[in-house]
Amino acid sequence: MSDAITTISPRRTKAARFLNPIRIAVHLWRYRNLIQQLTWREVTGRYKGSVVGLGWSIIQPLIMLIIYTFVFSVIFSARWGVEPEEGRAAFALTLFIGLITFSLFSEVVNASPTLILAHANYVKKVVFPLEILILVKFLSATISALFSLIVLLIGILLVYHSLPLTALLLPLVWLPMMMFSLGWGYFLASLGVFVRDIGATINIVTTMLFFLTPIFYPITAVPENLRVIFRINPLAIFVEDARRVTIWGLTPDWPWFFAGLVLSTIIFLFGYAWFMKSKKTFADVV
Amino acid sequence: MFNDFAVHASSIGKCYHIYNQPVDRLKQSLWRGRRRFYNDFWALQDTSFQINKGETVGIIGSNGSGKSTLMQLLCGTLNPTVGKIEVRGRVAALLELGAGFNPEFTGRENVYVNSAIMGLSRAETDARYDEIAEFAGIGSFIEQPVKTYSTGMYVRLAFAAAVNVSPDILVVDEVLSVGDARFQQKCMAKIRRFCREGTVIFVSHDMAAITELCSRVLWIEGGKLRLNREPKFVVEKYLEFMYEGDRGLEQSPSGIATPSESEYSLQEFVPVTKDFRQFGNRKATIQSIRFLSQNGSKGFIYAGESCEISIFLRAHENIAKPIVGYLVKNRLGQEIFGDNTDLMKYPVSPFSAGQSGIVTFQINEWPSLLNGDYTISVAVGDGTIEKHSQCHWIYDAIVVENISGHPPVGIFSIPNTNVTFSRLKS
Repeated sequence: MSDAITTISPRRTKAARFLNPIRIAVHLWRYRNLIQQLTWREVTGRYKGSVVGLGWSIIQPLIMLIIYTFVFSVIFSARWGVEPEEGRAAFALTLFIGLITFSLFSEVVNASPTLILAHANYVKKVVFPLEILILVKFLSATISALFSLIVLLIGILLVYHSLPLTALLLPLVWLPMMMFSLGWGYFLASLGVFVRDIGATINIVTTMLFFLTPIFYPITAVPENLRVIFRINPLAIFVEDARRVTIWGLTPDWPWFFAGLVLSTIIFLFGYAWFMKSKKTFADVV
Repeated sequence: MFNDFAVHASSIGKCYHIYNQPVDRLKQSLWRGRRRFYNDFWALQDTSFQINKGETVGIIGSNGSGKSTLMQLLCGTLNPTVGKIEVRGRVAALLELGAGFNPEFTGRENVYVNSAIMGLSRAETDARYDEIAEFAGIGSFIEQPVKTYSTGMYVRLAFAAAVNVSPDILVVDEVLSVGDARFQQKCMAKIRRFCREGTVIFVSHDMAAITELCSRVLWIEGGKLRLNREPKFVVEKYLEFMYEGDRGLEQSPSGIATPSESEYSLQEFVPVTKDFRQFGNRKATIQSIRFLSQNGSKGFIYAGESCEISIFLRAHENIAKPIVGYLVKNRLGQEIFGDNTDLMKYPVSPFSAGQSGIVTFQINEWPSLLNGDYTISVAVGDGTIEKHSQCHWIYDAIVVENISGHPPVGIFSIPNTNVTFSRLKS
């Protein structure tokens, strides 16, 4: 019998409460049991009942990779222009890391606008920490990405016969990308409740971003005068740094990395705070 | 005493902002106070009350009264616009059972997720899982996705999951009308046990259940708390309101009008119109009818009360041997009981054309019947019960609601029965 008194009042929670990262972490940690269960369910549920099952997590990105490699390397005769002898395999791997990185972002962002509506029950009928839903989506996307990453690392070993030491920096390089994705995820999840169009159009936006991010072409392939536009796309930073670290054995481009980190942190905190503040009004709309 | 509360609400109110389009909401959040894109709708206003630990409190109110809003506020799924509610302990709501269930998940998964939502750790849920599964009684189906369940199974699992988390406060409403009889028994037994051990908030339209289970009743009407008193009083006032319109609360608690000895006010009679289902040769017609119970109500009757059925007739031709009768049927159309002046050996004086009169059947003790609506059909004929012509028969002329604190086993129970036991010497 808990004697905790819960006060339900209209007192507006100051946004500042939501901007403290430690507080956020503690708050989400409270629900780790629920998060774990929902994430597990999401990951296993994806391919439940199919014959190949979790194998699809690997097969699907591999197939896309083969197609992209074929189109860009064979049909377009694209070259990366970084190494002297560049085989198709090397091209494919370079492509792959960019794909994985971008996919994590796009998976979260594409799913977010309709996430709350899909769980309308959790909004109106029970007291549910809705912020978990975006986190769960993110975690399951991360797990998917990890599977692909394993395939990539095996590929690198096979082609280059060694893994660069800088590959260990990948988690660091991915950190801003993850915060960026989460921040946008939260923001869009909230917005998607009120403006339904976003759910329909988000796919177009991410597809646009997909082509406007240097995933299957280096930034150097972009004409000099337009390069600025591509540079300010934070995803370009993330993808480029991921490539540097895993394929070419270079350290991240530190100035750009830190710029990205700062931007992503701001976006994450803003998105999360926005979501938490608007959470109360979901029940009126859903 | 103050610290022993389970729920304490101070001047809570909930105002819904009605927007014409969802995008106006966004505009509103940007414009803050400077422009208004919405209309106000106060679902609940200035409501204050306290529920103490261990109490069983009923909440009644007509549809749209603000009852559900209050429920949602108590459960924390809504935030009040003004005022505040303090809740001590864990609240489990049995409203809209299984609302937190995900159709794709299996029963087992849903139980775990549900418990996690309620704040239980995995270990705590593990400990209770077998009990929940057993209570639900759906067997191996618990490993199947919930979307494959029948409604009955769904409700059983949802109830089992919700009630076995050992909440401090249980909020129940009439979802329990779903499910077969055995399950309903199980639920009611569990709820009754809970009433003894914890705090229960019971929302219902079943006045009998409310009277039986609750120590206090809150009546919410038009978004305001109208009454907060003992069940019998509140239920009576509520039923008056429902059947007779809003007469306000000027009547004192014991001021239940007894029918005066003087002549009936025909204004209280319900006139017979073409809308009634009726037949007959119309040599005499029933003009209007009145049902009056001991407590002065025309719409409901308690078991054991006395009541009258008055039938106002007018003869259009000479009727030599008038015979008047009534028949009480349940909502399924089963004839429960009835009587007529011939069977009662009461000779009604003959009518000549144009004469009118009132026949009143006085029932001293209304039997204990199953709760629900009953209809009273009335008729007047000419002759004897074996051979008569039907002058005017009206089907279901009056509808009354029967309220029995102790519903019978079967169709009715006999009042004033006693049982004795004596041991025999061997």
